Amino acid sequence: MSDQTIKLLVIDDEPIVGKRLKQAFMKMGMEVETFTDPREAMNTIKQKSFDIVVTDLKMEGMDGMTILEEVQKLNPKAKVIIITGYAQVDTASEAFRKGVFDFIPKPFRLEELKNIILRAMSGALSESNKNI
Amino acid sequence: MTALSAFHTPRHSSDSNALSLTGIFRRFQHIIELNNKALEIISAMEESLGGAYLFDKVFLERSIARLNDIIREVIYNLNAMSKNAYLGLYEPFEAIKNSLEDILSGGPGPYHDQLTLPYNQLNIDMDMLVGAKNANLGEVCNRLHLRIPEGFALTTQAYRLFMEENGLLEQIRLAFNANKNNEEVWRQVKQLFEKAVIPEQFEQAVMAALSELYERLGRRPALAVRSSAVGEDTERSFAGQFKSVLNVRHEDVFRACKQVMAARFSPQVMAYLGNDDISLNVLPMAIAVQEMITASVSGVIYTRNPSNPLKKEMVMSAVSGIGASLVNGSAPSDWYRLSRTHPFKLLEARLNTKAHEHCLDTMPSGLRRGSALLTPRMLQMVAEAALTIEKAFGRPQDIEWTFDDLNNLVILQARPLRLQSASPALQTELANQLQQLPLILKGKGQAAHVGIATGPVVHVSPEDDLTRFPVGAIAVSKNASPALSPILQRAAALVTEVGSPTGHLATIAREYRTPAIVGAEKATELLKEGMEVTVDAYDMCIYAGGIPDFLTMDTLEEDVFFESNEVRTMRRLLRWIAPLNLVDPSSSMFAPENCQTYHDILRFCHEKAVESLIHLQTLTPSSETMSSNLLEAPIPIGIHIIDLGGGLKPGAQPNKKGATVPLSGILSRPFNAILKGLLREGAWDKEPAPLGMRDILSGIARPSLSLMGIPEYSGKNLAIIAENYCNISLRLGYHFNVIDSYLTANPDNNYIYFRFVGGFADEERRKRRASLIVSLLQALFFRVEQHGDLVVGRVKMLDDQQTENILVKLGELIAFTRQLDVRMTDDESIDRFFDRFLKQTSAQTASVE
Repeated sequence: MSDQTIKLLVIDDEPIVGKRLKQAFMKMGMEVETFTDPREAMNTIKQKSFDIVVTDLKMEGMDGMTILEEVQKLNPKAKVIIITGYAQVDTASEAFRKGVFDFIPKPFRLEELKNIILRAMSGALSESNKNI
Repeated sequence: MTALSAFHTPRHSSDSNALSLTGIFRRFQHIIELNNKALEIISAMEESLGGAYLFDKVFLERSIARLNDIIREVIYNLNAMSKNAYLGLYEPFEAIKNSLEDILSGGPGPYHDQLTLPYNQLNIDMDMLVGAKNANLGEVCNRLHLRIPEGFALTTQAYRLFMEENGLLEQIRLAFNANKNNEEVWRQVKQLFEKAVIPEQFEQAVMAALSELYERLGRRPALAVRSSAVGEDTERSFAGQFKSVLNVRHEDVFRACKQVMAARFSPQVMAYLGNDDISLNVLPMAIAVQEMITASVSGVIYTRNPSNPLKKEMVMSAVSGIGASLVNGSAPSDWYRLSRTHPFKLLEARLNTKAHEHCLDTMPSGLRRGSALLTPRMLQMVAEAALTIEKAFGRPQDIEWTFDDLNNLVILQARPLRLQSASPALQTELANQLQQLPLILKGKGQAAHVGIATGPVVHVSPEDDLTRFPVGAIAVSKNASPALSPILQRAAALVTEVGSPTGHLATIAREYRTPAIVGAEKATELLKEGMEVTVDAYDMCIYAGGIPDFLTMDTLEEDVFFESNEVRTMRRLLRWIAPLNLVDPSSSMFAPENCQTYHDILRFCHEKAVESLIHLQTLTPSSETMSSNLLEAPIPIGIHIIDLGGGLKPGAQPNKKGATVPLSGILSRPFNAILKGLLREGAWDKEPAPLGMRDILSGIARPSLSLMGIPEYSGKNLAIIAENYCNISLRLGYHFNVIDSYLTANPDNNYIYFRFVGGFADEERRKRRASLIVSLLQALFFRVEQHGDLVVGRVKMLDDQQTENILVKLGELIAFTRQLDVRMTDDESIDRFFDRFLKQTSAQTASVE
């Protein structure tokens, strides 16, 4: 895992979010795909596996909670991070119950998301070590 | 005053003690809190522009709503503490608030119904109204303060009016449909425009703008009428596709305007555009009407070499006279390759112009002077301007410039230079290279604006001549003083030891998109003058040396973040929020009616709130009557204390009138610091002053002249204190001190105001003592003004420890200077006493630094 490129998928109906995250995480050497339509994103997830999925919570067509559930069915190893402009305690705890890796309210510093993703990556790494 | 402001007027009548000390102080504290909150919101908005934050529309809406509330409350509280002295603030507030709400709801914002707009009102985000060429020039002139031709824009609104009143679109469409031959269509279109009638409103607007222009210039120059289409110079350059009409006489202006508008439908443009949609919203044509510059040399500079964008170099060409022959490629030109680093060394010159033969001066020897069109100084001027524009616009630039007959550099046009973008692999490679460099500072401070820059270190302080700061250098300073603002457009990056991302200077750094780290301890010590360093304000690292121009990474990105719609909305909003126009409180421009942004209002209110507080003891008659208690302290003066809250320990509150307060009962942090100084051994010079007859005579005459009628001088020594605050008036011998200080953990809030006046000696000696105090204050980082024997010193935005140390020193200084004026018989005595003071006090105190 450590010497492989991390694959990151970003879903947010506001284009600026994908644009910004793509810029930031490509600089960290990741492979980044972005979607503004969650259904289109789901089609891609079905065909290709990602290490980390960053998704908005409230979107037309499909919400972040559904994406979380779907991703976990398709690829249980993938870490899902939910970003939202409407942070509410009960949504957050529901997401954690469903196994979200982290939950972060907008606006946030890219630094914060970077740290969460670094944690997700090292988590993925230590899990694969356990399996060995 | 409007009815509206009357509605906001704080009412005091219900409570006659509303202007009590406690009341004023509480208002002040509230303003400080609101001010900090507002600056946090503003900086969060700006940081999202700088790339540190990720935001969405909800964030924009919420931020604006909160700011509206806060600013209103700040204005209300300032009026409440100043007897409604600043009701004039409500007018700019309402105007700004309306503009923000309009922009937020997708409206065109202010000025949308104007037909003409002078250049001094334009900025980069008005391109939908005035076209990119005009908008960029407005930015170059108004934000970067570079010279451009005087002139005005005819807006897209004027274009619409002209097209609609003449029903031109329908007729053009008919011409397109009826003909297959492009040339024939074009001939017909040109005819349509020639025959079209200038609408009356259009004509009046242009005439008014022209006479304003002539008045500004004091003459009637020939004019240049140029295209400034919406979309030109942004997504696609359309370079050379449109029409410029030069040397236009006053009476030919409308004909020239018609030619420029017609060119939007030329075969060239239609082909370049690649579709035949001619509706009004596609490529609407605004116009630039400018004075013709009498050019001695003209040219073009690219801030990157297109054939090798990663190299730290710029390329430039020049011809004599006006530049038309250069941009249309019809004449040979001189060509230069320059370093991108100050002082922009010439790397290569190819001199091809035949022009030298007839335009250069022939010297008496018969030889021609020089060989190039441009002197090294001119090359440097163009290079500096070009890099300033590149940084402000966030990407490499293609700039047309000219030198006028007085050798002033004039910028004619600035547009993005299209280059191949850096691949992700290259970006990763650059990031790796950066991390190989030796680290000087890591993890210290916070980003005021993200970004990476390389350059030589230059130490700065507000006393330096800031206009001479070398373009492209890294500015390093102790404090984040707003007085440093002038360097921010020139500096490649800023590093300060003290300061926070919510401070005024941080905000200004973002306005100029200057990467900035504030609060980086020891920066002035570790970053030595002249050293080449790379400042990475993404990760708070400063490295020794540089890699081949890190700017590359940001400026060569394909998808420029700064140009997305969301960011443009944010930026349009911030235009009415963030810029700070009121920088100098002593200027006559520092007035409510000149507040153009929320930041101006905040700055104004903050300054006036501090001012009201400093004059606390004169403002409030109640300080005389309010019960105060004497401090028990082994010093030769009595100080009475009024606690506004938190200044005394809970058990130390005197329970009856006339009771004293023990030293140990003082909790006020700034007051304790001053007391510490007052109590220092050796601080009080107890020897009696040797008075001469002259001193006694002048001493008798003085108080009646200068000291009467100033209430704060007449009473007892009084300290008004709170947990983080003190305002002290001391009457010692015949001189008077006022110290006002606010001291918290947040350096942005901290200040000390110190005033010293009066004395018992002849004028010469009093002036000498004032000079001594000036030197002592300056040694303590104060910015000082001296008028005769009145000395006013201010120090702001130092961290709490430093502020505290300075207050201790002030305490000592007050004691020491008590009767000095009588002893200062000659100028040499200033140095002698200065040394003595330092000797007396430095043995016991930790250095302020």
